[in-house]
Amino acid sequence: MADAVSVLDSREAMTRTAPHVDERTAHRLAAFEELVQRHRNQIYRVAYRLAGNPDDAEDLAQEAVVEAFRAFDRYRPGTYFDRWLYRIMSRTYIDTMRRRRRRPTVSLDAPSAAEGEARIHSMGDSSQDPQELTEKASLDGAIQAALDRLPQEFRAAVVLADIEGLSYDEVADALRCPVGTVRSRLHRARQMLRGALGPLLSGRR
Amino acid sequence: MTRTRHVSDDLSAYIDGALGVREVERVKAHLDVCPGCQQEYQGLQAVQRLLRSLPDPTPQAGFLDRMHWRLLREASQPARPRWLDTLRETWSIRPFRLAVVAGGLALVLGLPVAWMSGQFTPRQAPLDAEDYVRHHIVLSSDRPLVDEATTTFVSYDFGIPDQPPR
Repeated sequence: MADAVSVLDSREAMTRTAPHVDERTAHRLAAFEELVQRHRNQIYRVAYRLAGNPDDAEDLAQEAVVEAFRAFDRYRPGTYFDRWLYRIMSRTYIDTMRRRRRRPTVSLDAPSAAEGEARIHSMGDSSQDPQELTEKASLDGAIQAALDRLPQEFRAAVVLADIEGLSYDEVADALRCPVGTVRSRLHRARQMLRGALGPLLSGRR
Repeated sequence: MTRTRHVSDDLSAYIDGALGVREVERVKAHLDVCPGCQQEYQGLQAVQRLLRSLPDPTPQAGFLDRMHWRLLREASQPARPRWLDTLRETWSIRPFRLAVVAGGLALVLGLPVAWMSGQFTPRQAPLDAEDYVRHHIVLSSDRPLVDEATTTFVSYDFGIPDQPPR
C-alpha cells in the first residue's frame, strides 16, 4: 500500500513539474504508455538479456521505448506491439554496441562484482528458498556471462528465438536479415553457448 | 551401417522444426547412426532448455516512472520531421548502406580516372563527308599525280594542320 502511495506521489510530482504537452500528444502518449505498461515484462526481459546488467538494460529499454514513441504513428493497431518494439530495440542495441566499440569505456566481457551482485538482486520472487535462489542466481549469472560473450547479432537472435520464443520469420523481421542468416546465427550462437556452458549442461540432459 | 553426411549444421533447425519433411527424415536417420551428431543434438537441446528456464529479471524500483518521465520530455519536444525517421530507418538496412558507400567510392575514385583518361575533353567534330569530297576534287584536279587529298584528310582527322598549297 505504502509503495502504491509513493508511486502515485512521485507520478503526481512529475506531472506537476512536467513539460507542457498539447492535447493530441497527451492522448497519443497515454495510448502508447498503456501498451508499454502491458508489455513491460517482455520489454525489460529482452533489454536485460541483451544488455547484460540492470543499468544498461534500463538505458536500452528507455532508448527503445522513446524511439518507438517517435515512430508510434507507424505502428498498426492490432499487430503485435511487442514484436514491433523488439525490432526497434534490436536496432537500438546493435547501434549502441557499435558506438561503444568505436569509443570503448568499460570492459563488457568482465562484469564487475557490483554488476554480479546487481544481477543476483535483480531476480525477484522472494517466496523461494534462499539456497535455491542463490543457485538460480549463479546459474543465471553463468548463462548471462555466456550470452554477453556472443557477438551482438548472435545474442539478439538467441534472445529473441530461445528466450522470447519468436519464430525464424519473426526474428528475421526484427533483425532485418534473411531467414537463412537467422538460422545460421542461431545455430552458431547455440554451439558457442554449448561450449561455454559445458559443465552446466552435463547435469541437465 | 550406412554412412551419411554429418548433420551438425541442420541440428538447430531440426530442433526448431524449421526443416522440410525430407530433411527431417535425413537428420533422423543420421542421428540414429552417428554418436557425434547425437551428442551435439542433445547438447543444443540442453542449451535451449537452459535458456527457456531463465527466471524473469525484475526491473529496479521506479523503472516505469523514469520511463514515463523520459516519454513526457520526449512528447514535449517538437516532432521530428518524418523524412528523418524514414532516412534513419532506411540507413539501418545494411545492403542500402553498402550500396551508398560503394556508389560514393565509385564516384570518388572514378572521377579522377575518367578525367585523366580524357573523358571530359571536348570531342572533335566528326568529319564532314561533303567537305572532304569537295576538298579532294579541288586538290586532285590541281595535282592529278599526287594523292595529297588523302594526306590532308588523314592529317585533318588527327588535328595536324593542312599543308600550305604549293
